[in-house]
Amino acid sequence: MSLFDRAGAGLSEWLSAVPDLAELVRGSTVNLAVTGLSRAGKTVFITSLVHNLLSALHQPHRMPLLKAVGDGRLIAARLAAGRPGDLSRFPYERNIERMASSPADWPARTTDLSAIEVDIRFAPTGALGFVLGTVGSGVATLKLRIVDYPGEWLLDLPLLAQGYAQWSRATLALCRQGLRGETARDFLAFQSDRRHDQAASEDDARRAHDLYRRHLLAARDRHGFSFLQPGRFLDPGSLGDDPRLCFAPLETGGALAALMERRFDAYKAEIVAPFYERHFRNYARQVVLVDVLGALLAGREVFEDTRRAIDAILESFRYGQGGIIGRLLGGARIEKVLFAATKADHVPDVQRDHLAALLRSMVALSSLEAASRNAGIEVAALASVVSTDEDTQVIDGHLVQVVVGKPVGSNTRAKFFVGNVPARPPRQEAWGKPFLNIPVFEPPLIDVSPIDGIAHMNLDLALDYLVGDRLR
Amino acid sequence: MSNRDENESGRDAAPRPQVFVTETPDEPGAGFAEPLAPQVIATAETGRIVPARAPEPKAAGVAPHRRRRRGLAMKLGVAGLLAAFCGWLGIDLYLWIAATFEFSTGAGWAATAAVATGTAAALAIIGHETRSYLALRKVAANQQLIAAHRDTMGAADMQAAIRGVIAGIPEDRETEAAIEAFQRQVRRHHSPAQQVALFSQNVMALLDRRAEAIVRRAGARAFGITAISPTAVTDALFFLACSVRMVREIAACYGHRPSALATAHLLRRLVVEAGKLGAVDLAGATLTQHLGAAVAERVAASAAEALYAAQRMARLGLATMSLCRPVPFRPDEVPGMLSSLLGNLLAPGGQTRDDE
Repeated sequence: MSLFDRAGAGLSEWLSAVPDLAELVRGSTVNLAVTGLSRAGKTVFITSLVHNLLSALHQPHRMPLLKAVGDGRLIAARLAAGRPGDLSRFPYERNIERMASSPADWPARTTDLSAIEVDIRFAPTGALGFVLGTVGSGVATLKLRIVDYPGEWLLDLPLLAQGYAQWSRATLALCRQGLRGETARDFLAFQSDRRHDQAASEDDARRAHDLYRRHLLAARDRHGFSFLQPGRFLDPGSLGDDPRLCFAPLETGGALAALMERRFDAYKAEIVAPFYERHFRNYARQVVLVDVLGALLAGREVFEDTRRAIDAILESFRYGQGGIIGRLLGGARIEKVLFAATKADHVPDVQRDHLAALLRSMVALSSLEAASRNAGIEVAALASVVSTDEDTQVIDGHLVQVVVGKPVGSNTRAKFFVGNVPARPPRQEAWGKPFLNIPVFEPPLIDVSPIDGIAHMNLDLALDYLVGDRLR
Repeated sequence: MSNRDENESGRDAAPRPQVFVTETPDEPGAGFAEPLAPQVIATAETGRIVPARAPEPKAAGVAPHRRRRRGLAMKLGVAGLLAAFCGWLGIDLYLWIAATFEFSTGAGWAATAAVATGTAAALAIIGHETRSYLALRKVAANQQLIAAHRDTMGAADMQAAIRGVIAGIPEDRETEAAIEAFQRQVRRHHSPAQQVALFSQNVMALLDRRAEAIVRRAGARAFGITAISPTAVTDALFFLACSVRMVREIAACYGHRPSALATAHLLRRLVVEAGKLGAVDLAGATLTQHLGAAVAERVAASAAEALYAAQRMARLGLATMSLCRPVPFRPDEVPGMLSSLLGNLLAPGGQTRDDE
């Protein structure tokens, strides 16, 4: 290929990635990064957000804190036609039907990539509104594009900056600590039993991989850990039993470690890097969903693990104020980040503020990077779907605030006393025993048609913070 | 030296720093011990959850307010003056009735009836003014409370404050619909600041639009009258009259008359504005005399003065709005000068609905 051909191909590729001029000037598309660890509530967040936006025409009282709705400027929102890019469409309708069915249930765990686009038509304000109203229809459109993916995959992004040896050292050190030591016992025993000078075999590689994967699954399901790499070991998606996944962290040296290193590099180059390039480089706004309550109740080790996972994820994104030039050069940056403590409906009114304060404390360090690059930072407690009600209960002579809901699969309601939710991470001696049986309450009664919307907490506030400036 | 010796030798000295050992829980995590540990309690209730709404603020209710405590001497002074005046009036009236009875019995009874009627009328007026004054104080206190503690007060306190505001809002079909919309939107989880934002967005925005329409009308009036008025003195008089009328209309639009403090503040502004207008008149007259031509003099001076008067009227109107509005403006809610002056021009058909 000649130099001109290569230059032409490069230019063509660059132009295809650059948005059109109108897009550059008006900024009429917002790519919203819905970021969160596994079980943080990404799928429910997207489903509720879309349903409430579509319902805003008929039921504006559901989203009053979204200024465009509150001011009566939102004309209508609709799902964009066609497939969003090269991804399958987010199963919004299926999720709503599942939540509205009887007995109701939550959307299934996300196992692969999908995307959804919502066209929000609104009446702009200010000079733009005056010009549009005078010379045109007076209506503008904002396209909101959201991608859903298994939360576990996010933890692959930090691998891009690590070599096999570095990753193995850090991972094995973690495997030997606390509760992880229990679940990783067989995997660690395999390592210690195997001599370094032994020849590498496919059977050994498979065995190491299986044992390591079993440890990851147990750490997630039994103890609630999040910082588990690589993410596709837990949820391979469409990769299935791809041989590139057949590796594990090993002490360096020896033929088996060399084989593992080659696969690790291939995994990064052929699976993780394209995933990052395609789906995580063009975001302008980000919401980071964190199940703060789950992490708090699961005990100190899981709480610290969650904090570590969030820190690692946030290092993979680029923050700062992006302008037309930046977009033209394909270097979009995340301008606004919202950290959201999800499942706020599991905490009574009186303690809900603590949930947001606790999250603010959790992400204080990692948000500094974004803030130092002039990106907007906000923290809120939200519930994408309110599935509980407030109540009181006398426990050992004390009248305490509880929430009440109907657990999934149960015929009767149950009250949940959450205990003390501190505004700051508890001191080491103040941690109680892990409480992992947080009830999963049924969704409330929901209308499948986008007419009445879904009851939520602060979803409108979150959306106004994230895209409110584009709806003016 | 032992602690005892040290204590005895320094008996008269100030207490020294000491460490008191208190009992501590033996087990780590005892702070989370029962009954504070999380738990799930089964109930016998069935049926899915229907999310509850926040208790709806009703038009009846008492707004919390804090009275400014006056000095005791001031209170006693006012009470003394009042007692002296009433005593003097009472004795004077008694002597007058007695003198009238001495003149003739019929005239005496007529005088008694006249005094009784006058006293009843005075009491009625005093009662009405007192009620109005107390209502105004309540509104002013509410405004101060919301302004000062919007971000810190409890949700229940804010609900009570909003109930107080709703109680004073003029009742008509539009405001009732706006209040109903607010009540449908507000939820238990909304913070006090969010409650105020929703209230402003639904109810106050409607009253703001009406008040802005009044400001626009007053601005147009000031423009027209100043353009055709013959002298600076008549300009100032017309401006004063327009301003007072506008202030009263805006106050009524928000459901009250300005409090005593607000009235004094507004009158001071009126005097300043009228003074400025007079100064501009003199400056304009001097300038246009130098320009010479009679037509140019008339057009230049009148147009400049009229525009200036309209702009001043709009500024005064916006200031009156922020004083009379029961919920203080948030930074993004303050109406702009341009929209207040030119709203009629920008609105379709040259007139907004609120102007009609």
